[in-house]
Amino acid sequence: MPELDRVIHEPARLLIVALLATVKEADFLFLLHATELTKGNLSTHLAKLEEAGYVEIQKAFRGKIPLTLARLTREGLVAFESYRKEMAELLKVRRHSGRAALNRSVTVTAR
Amino acid sequence: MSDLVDPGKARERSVHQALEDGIEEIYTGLFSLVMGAVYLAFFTLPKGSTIGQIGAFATSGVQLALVLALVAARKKVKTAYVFPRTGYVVFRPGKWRTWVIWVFGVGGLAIALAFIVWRSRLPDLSRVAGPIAALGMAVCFLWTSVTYKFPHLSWLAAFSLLLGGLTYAIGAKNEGIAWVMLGIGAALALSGALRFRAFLRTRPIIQADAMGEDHHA
Repeated sequence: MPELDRVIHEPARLLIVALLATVKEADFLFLLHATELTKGNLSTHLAKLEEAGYVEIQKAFRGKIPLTLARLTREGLVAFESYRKEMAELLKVRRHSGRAALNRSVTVTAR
Repeated sequence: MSDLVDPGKARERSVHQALEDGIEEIYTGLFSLVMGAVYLAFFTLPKGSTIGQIGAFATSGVQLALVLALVAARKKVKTAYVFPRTGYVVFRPGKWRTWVIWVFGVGGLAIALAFIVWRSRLPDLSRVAGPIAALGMAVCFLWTSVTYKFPHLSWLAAFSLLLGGLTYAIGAKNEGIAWVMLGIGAALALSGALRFRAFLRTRPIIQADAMGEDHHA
């Protein structure tokens, strides 16, 4: 059975990574709106992702507006893709074993 | 939440969020208005004369200047009004973008070549130029409406088809393309302006210090 990446497996972090996988870069405010997390929560999860090397945080200015830009690193993208594959495999196995169990119970009932 | 974890759905939702300010609609509408006006000017210029050639050259210059001004204005408006409200984002190119560019590029080239090579044998399509342009626009509007969940664009698709029908009815020929672009451009710019007004009213500016700046020192 494949081992799931615990850093990405957490629902809020999975949300952030899934969003960042679709964009080149996004700032804190955009992520705040898109994930509907609280500022503190988003900040903590971004820090954990940055610590794991999955997200790169950069301070920048656009005009006079300060931005906290976040982008997924190459490792982050690879980790997200392999997480998705592992999850899909797990679900396949679960579905298969569930069907087998259902078939067994049908046979037992028929007897 | 499950929608966001699926990258396809996450992209749709982020694009929806990025387009809801109406700026892209205003920009596309004004761009369409400029292009429509330029095409109309080209069609009305006297052909084969020096005045016609100078006019075509001047029109191209005006077109380029207006498009560059539109691009600069969009950037300024986004920086001043949108990013402080909903945040800054740059999307990755969609997985279909390359495919679409190839289809449009190769398809357009093939059609252009067919027109050059078999011009004498091809039927005169100028009568349906307006309806064809309108159909193309309607398909784009419908696709955007369904993919990114903007129902009002379906109405614009219907309006586009109506305009195409009108250009056919009045026998506008090639000028029909320009009239469709002008009509759609005006409608799109108006719809975008209404959305932008609503966006400014409903989305307050969020101060930089409240954006988690202190958390990422």
